[in-house]
Amino acid sequence: MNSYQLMEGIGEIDSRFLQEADDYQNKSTHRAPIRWLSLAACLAIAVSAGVLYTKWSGIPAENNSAMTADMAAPDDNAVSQNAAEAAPFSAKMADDAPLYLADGIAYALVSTPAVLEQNGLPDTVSEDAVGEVIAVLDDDIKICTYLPLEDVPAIRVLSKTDMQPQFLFYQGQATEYSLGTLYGFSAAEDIDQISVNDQPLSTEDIAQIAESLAELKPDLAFTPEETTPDNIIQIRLQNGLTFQLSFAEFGTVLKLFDLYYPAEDILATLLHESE
Amino acid sequence: MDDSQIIALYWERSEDAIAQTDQKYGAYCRKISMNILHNTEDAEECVSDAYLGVWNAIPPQRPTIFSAFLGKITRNISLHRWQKNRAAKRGGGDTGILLSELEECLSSPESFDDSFDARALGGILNGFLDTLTLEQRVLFVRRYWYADPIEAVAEKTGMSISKATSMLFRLRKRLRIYLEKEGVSL
Repeated sequence: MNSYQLMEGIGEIDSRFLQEADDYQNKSTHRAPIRWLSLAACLAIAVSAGVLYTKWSGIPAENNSAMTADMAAPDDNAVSQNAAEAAPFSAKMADDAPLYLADGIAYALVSTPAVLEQNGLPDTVSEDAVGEVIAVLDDDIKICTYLPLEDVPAIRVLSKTDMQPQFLFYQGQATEYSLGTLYGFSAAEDIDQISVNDQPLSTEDIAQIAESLAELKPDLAFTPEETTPDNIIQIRLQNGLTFQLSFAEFGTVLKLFDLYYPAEDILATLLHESE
Repeated sequence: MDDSQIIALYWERSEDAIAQTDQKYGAYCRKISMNILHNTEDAEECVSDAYLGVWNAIPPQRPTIFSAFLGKITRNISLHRWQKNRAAKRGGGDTGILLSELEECLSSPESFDDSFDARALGGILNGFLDTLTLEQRVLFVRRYWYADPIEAVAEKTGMSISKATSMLFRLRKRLRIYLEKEGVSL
């Protein structure tokens, strides 16, 4: 059978399905007005059908690498045990690095072996690890799931004809996801380690904050002050992924890329423990 | 005029039947045809041929859902015209993309099955559609029966384009498994 014959066969389906598809009215036809939140969100919506070839302007570069993404300078991304030398925290994205958008999430390519290794990922994406297509950017450019971490939106695969598939890491947006959904964790047992300014938390402390941390969703109404976040929380998960959040010492929110998560209780616990 | 009255006109062999059909369903038929042919002139001819087809079919037939009956005839004629145009290397539009998507459901997409029975396959596809949720069915039927562009399908179902694309991808994979299970020669 060829595809034309299949198309003919589809033409013979029961009339009730045609009427159903004709009469269908989706529930979200009457959507609430879009809430315009930030420059970055507007930007993402404006180019939601394609690839955003632009700088990540307006967001300081050092805060632009919450995941241990390399972006530009492989030498700056060596795995380090020392926060002061923790290059992924200060890795900069190349000015012309493209962002790939899917479902309102911005992704960037990551190919530096050290970063991939730190995240428990192989050097290259094998063809059979490329999962379902979640966005078609062009005729031959697709964003797909990465099968071993299929339910983790923070990591995807860029699939392009005549090119080895490459890893894509979360770079921003995703206002609908909780932290746990985004990175694939829900409880203390999913977490390998949490460090605050390179000081590992105890198992008990992790148990205390893990669930609340996983359930955190962005506070879309939050307007940041001029304070520069100066504390880094690095979270290493059992699924291999590592990401980091930042907060100003007396703040009540955690920052992940361009989003702020209300986390008063969590921060109170962390600050108390670090005293 | 309601559908039963239009059908009655066909049974009476009244030429007003076609005028009434065009008035009520002309836009519907043209959209189906345009989705496949992407050519106004060809689509117009196909719709006229479809009316003639309905005229020849009623009587003896008395369709229960007239719009679907008319739509099916329009779709078949348009699809055949598309194939003819393609053979003559004329036009084609997005229907080629649609067919290449459907190739994912087949193991040997280039093979022509001499014993192919579209109606029998339609029956199997009814079974497949019954396994889907309403949203999935609508998505599948809008894309592969009505040949709606992805953007239109996404809008109709209230999904993002990427979500609709992803769901269609999953549905094609499911269809392939279903057809294999049903013993359809792929």
